[in-house]
Amino acid sequence: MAKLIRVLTGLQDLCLWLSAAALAALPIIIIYDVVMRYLFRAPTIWASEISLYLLQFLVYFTLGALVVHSGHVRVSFWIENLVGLGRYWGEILTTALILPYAGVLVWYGGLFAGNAHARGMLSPTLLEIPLWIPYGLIPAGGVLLALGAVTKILVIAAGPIEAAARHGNGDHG
Amino acid sequence: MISPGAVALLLVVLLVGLGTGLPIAFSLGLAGIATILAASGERFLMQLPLTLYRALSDPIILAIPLYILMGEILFRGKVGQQLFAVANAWLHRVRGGTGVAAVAAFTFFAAIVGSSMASVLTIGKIAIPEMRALGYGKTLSYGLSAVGGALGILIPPSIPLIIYASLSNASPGQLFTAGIVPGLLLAALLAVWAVIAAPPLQRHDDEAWSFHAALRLTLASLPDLALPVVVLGGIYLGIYTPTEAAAVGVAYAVLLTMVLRHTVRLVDLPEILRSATRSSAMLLAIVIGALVLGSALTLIGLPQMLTRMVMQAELAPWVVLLIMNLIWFVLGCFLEVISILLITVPVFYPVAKAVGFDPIWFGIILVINMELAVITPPVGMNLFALKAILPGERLETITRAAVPSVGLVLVALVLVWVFPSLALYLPRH
Repeated sequence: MAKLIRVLTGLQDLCLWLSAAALAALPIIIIYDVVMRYLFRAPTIWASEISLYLLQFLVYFTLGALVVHSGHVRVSFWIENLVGLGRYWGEILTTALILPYAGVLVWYGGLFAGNAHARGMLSPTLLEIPLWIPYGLIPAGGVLLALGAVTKILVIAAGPIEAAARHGNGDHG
Repeated sequence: MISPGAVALLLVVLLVGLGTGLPIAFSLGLAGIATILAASGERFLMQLPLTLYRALSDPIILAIPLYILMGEILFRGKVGQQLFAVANAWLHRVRGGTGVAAVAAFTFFAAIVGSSMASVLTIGKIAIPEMRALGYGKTLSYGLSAVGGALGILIPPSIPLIIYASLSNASPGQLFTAGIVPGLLLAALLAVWAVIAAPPLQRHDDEAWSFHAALRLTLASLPDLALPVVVLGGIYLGIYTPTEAAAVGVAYAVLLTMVLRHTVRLVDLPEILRSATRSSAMLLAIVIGALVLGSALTLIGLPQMLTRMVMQAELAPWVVLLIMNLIWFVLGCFLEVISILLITVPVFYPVAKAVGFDPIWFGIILVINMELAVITPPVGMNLFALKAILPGERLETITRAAVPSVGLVLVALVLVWVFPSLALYLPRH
């Protein structure tokens, strides 16, 4: 169990770092475009489109990591007043409630991306990126979110009951 | 005709999700999905990915992670402390001067970053001990910091204004301009409070003070003081968009903190990026959840129904706005700013338009209400930020001390409400 948790957490950490790299790339790309536009009168055809894909990447690839690392904000009055078994099951229940949401992202996002692939849809720009790639970030984010929730449940279930308090879902409230 | 069952289901799932501690992002999303399934079956869910994709393809949204990254770099680079040191060098010799210096630093920092917590953490950390050492009461020093930090979401650039612009199709540039005077008005109210409520000066630093030292410190801080000019000047001169301004701000922040000040080292960058990614992702996850909820609201026609009800009831516009203010106030006690914005704007904005409110003015009124949200317990993010920099103080003590400052925000709210030109003069001219 511990090894599985380590592997799943490592996967989410990798996604978080990749998203951080995407964030680092954003200002570089945007400033490059501004400089090309104003100094050389040669705006790029790719900067704004790629920036928006990087934003989508950042959003969906961090969904699961934030669950694992308790990075999502929640209202926690009720759950923080629970102790012992109540807290233990409360944390597991609230984490499990993430799964149907993740399921919708995976299923309907998957249909959406699959449809774009089947029809050979391209972005309506000079780059003509196959749209199944950016569309595919939605189901990918759903998979990562589901894995994040499962990892969190495993962490809570594997530890002592008191640990549930330490592994709560969010930071604030 | 709207189904009462669908509205009830939406509210029940939302309240159960929020109440049980399910993260806000997923509470919003689940409530939306449940409502869509109940109202139209899975047919409408097929549209959902396209809605999400299109909303996140808005260049205005792209500004959010960039402003967060810039704020994180400036926070780690202690730029806020530098601003406070400059203001305090000039003002500390007069009664309430250190409090006014804190307000000046908060105002200036607000013109650089769009977040209120970052302002409290960076300036409050140095200003509060200084004020307390001069005999300022907890109510004054904590209240100034709580509300001073909240200036960050009103004075441009402002993340809540960016999100409002994205939801309402209002011009972000005009919204930014409209936030300037109300922000300065609130800062002036804080400064007056500091002068009136501060204790008389007890120690005389005249010998220690020197005009030349203060001038030297100011000149040395010119690169810090130039930040708002770089970020906002480019927007108003039409050189770059608010999103591009954020990217330029990131570059300037790197230059300032890593090359000029050496307060951020290369090895600090990965942690800065990781932290900014986490904050951005948390915020944008709420945006996604709210988009799902927004789709459900559109599907069941709740905004249109509310608009019809308001028009049929022939309520006076001020009554409509008062009701909205009360709802924002109550929500502000329990939810953080972005969630409130994303939940209420899709519902309230059509009503506001129908009763004839100016979209820019309405956005500023909304954000002043959000300033209340960050300082009202039990969920006041600036109160949590104060707790983080005052580890020895109980949250209840901080809350009791900071809550009276709510009155100043209410005064600013009423003034902007009664005199809309306070917000609208600059964007109209």
